[in-house]
Amino acid sequence: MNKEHDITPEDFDALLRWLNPDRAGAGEKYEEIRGALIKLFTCRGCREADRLADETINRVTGKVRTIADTYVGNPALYFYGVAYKVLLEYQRKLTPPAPLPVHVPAPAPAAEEVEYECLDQCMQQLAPAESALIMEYYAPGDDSAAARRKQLAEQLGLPLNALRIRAFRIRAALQECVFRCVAGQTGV
Amino acid sequence: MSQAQEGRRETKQYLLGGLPPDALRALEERLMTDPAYLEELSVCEDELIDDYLRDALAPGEREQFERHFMATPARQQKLRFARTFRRYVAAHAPAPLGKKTEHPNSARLNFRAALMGLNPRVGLALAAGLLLCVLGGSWLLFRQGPNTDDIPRAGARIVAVELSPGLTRADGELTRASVPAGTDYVQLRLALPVNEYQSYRGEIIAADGRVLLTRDDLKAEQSTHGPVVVLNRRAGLLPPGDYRVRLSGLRPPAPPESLATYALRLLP
Repeated sequence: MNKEHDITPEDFDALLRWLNPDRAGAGEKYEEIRGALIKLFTCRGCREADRLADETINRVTGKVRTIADTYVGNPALYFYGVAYKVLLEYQRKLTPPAPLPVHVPAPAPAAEEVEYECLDQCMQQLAPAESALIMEYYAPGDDSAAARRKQLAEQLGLPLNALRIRAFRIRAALQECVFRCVAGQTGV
Repeated sequence: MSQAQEGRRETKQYLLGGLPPDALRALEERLMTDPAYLEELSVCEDELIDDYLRDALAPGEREQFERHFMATPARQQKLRFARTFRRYVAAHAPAPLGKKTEHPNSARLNFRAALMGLNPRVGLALAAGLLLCVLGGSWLLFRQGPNTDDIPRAGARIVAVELSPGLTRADGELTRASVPAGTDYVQLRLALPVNEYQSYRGEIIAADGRVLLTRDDLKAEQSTHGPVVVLNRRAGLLPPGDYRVRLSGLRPPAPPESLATYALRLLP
């Protein structure tokens, strides 16, 4: 899998130019593609999604000067084609197959408490309206959740899906905050 | 089914690793080219994890979730966070939604605070009602007593079956146990993946998905192989066949947290 790539700064510049002639736009596109590749490899069950995404990008970067002038279409799809080959190579090399997770252990009580305390701290950092929204959106009660969320969306003047996305973004930010906090406290 | 619902159903199948190849390619091309869809996929991931924790996935989906979706460390980390977040929200649950959220800082409103904000007479009446409910419930509990049907009498013939978590029929690691004629009780000894809950809920589920037995307030016991939860059932109520046993952790006031499933085949 670890093929040698002699990626030069010129290759990387060529990649960015191919993605978008505007440097800032190219950087944005690069991050989008990398994020999508990581998600793709994760969804395919690869344990080293980040590494495989970078491997894909390196391979494309190594070829970009020969394809940029002739390739027609969205560059992201070219990345997808290369990613598929990387995925097949990865799957072939899995000997024995990656162990199936038979159980996802909850953190040990002490670690769980650290995470809980971190979450409490991170909640304090949210804007009041954000913490109110997320607490209401995720409040327990399976039977009433749909009705409650609909009512909340009406109060906020948002379509239901927009509320769903907003709640997700707050939760994602909280999750990142908690991971950073736990890493800071445990040194992991 | 609306287009949005159909789209979410397909995304869920993708996340569980169950999408057919042609649909898979189309979905992944969209994932690569549409940043909004990348976010939608992440939203669906969180919703899937929440559904798993509140035990809202169908049996087949649970298996796919445990075998495919949770295969990566990143997802396992997300599940741990979701557990903690769920616990936090349950402990700080806001008051029921009113007409308008006047105080955005009220996210930490709890029931006591909500009661304190009421007219004193109304609050007193509610408190009295609550007290009656508690007393009534206690009386009923006392009157009914524990479920003695699941407590083997002295000298009963018991077949004990040790079960490990997360073993699925698809993996070919089904636990088989023979229950000879004349057996009084089948004792399921569920190895605990974690032992950090006040109590546990055990459910025995038939092959057709019917829940045959639900027992709350099960306590962890020590065995030579580590902590276990013991679930007894009269042998006559468990004919030969395939079963799943679902274990959840209980830590009030948080909702039950799904911990593990066990696959079992009882033979004559």
